[in-house]
Amino acid sequence: MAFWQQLQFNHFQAAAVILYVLGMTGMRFNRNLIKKIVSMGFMDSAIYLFLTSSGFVAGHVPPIVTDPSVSPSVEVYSNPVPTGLVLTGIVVSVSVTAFSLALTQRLYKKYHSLDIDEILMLAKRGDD
Amino acid sequence: MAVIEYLLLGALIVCAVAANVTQKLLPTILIYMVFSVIMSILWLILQAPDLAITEAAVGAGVDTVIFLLTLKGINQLKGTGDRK
Amino acid sequence: MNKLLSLYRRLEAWVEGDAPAAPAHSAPPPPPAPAQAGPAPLRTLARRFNAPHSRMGRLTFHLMSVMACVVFSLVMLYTVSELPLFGEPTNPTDNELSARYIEQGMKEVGAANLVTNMILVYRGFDTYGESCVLFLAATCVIMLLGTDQNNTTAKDLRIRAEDAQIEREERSVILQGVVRFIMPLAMMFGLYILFNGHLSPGGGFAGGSVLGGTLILCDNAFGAQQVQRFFNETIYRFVKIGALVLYAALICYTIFAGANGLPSVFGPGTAGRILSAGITMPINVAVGLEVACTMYSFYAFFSKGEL
Repeated sequence: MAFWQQLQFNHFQAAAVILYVLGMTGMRFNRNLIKKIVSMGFMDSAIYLFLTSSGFVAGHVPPIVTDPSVSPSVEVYSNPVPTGLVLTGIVVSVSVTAFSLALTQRLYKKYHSLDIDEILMLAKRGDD
Repeated sequence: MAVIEYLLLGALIVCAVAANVTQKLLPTILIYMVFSVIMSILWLILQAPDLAITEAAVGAGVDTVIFLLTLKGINQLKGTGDRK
Repeated sequence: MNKLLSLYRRLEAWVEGDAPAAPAHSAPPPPPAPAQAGPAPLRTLARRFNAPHSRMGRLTFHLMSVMACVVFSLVMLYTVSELPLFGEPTNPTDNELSARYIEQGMKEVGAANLVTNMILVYRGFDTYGESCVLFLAATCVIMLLGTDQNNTTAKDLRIRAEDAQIEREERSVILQGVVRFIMPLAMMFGLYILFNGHLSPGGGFAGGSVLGGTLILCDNAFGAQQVQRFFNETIYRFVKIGALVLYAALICYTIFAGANGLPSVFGPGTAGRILSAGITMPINVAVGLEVACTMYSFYAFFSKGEL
């Protein structure tokens, strides 16, 4: 079957898609805020995996010149663009995680709960 | 090489499922740390050593520390809560 | 304008109406939402999901989310199966852009690490924005978790003082011994990654994370007083803002000189030497300091609410 064969060739992308869906499912079905944040981390990593695997070229070496006397050519080095994009992304995702965890701590201090539904209900009751 | 790739990718998916299924919070975070370590090996396979160093330092180090400190802050770690 | 407002109200009612599953000890259920004027399908949906104890509605909602996840994964897998083959050199992602970065990057900028060339010089403004994101994240964490009258009670302060007392009395000898051995090596490794980022894998982000991790390790083993001997709040502010300003000045100068065709004082130099590649090494250092400060401030504010 062409579908399965193609998925075997693109196994990195297929795994990335499955990871993304798992993270999405976790974000939908977990009501604990910390588990939601962990699921968000899985989604981040899935996207990075997808991007980086699109820059991979079989048989080439990482884009770091070891012998500067030889002019670098496309036939030797793999694609540096996705690596650069993902490098900044990883550090930003840590900032996002830290920010959301700080928000979670403040929510816990106010409502003494990590359950998003309970927090929403208490917040609504507090508004009235 | 292909076998290692399949093993690591399978381990990633197992980690993602396990982190969602686990009930307690501490195992979830340790599984997330394992996920980051496996990810940093995969970056090496994908010809991105810059990413491998960053992920190992950030994902497995700083991220886990922040998560654990949050657990301590919300009294979910054993021996840190229940003080009046 | 009125129409827009009513539309917003309707949307708000629909979103808010997604009633949470009531826990056992909860108050009596809120009164059902008043009937909204609106198109019939939306109104029916709203009524179905608004009913607080409608088991049917909740079940439908869950089933629909499961269906959405399954359908989404199938669509995405089908898309992956239609993508070009993994690892082929003729893929559309390996186009003239990456060819340009690979072939001209070392000649024009001078760094042997082509990724560093790309993210620090060709796309330097982009990475500058990213450093600002780090700065903002650290600021937000300071605002949310810093010790002040609004978010800290006397109980919190007492618990924190008790924790500090316990930590001071029960310092782990094993941890101290290991850290005393590892910390110089780790710090040297971080500085090596930082200063050698244009020649070998690494750079500002990786080196800064390793440096920040080393500071966290030192704090854990020897306590905050030892770290504050060489890294207190004044130095933190100075380094964090100074790194950002240095980065901004360097990238602005490069853009000014490059756009006007002026001869830049930061020449490409000989590729492979430590003093080559113009502005990449100073920018790497600036980014690394920024990242290290951010990581350490995350740790400090999450653990004790002050630096």
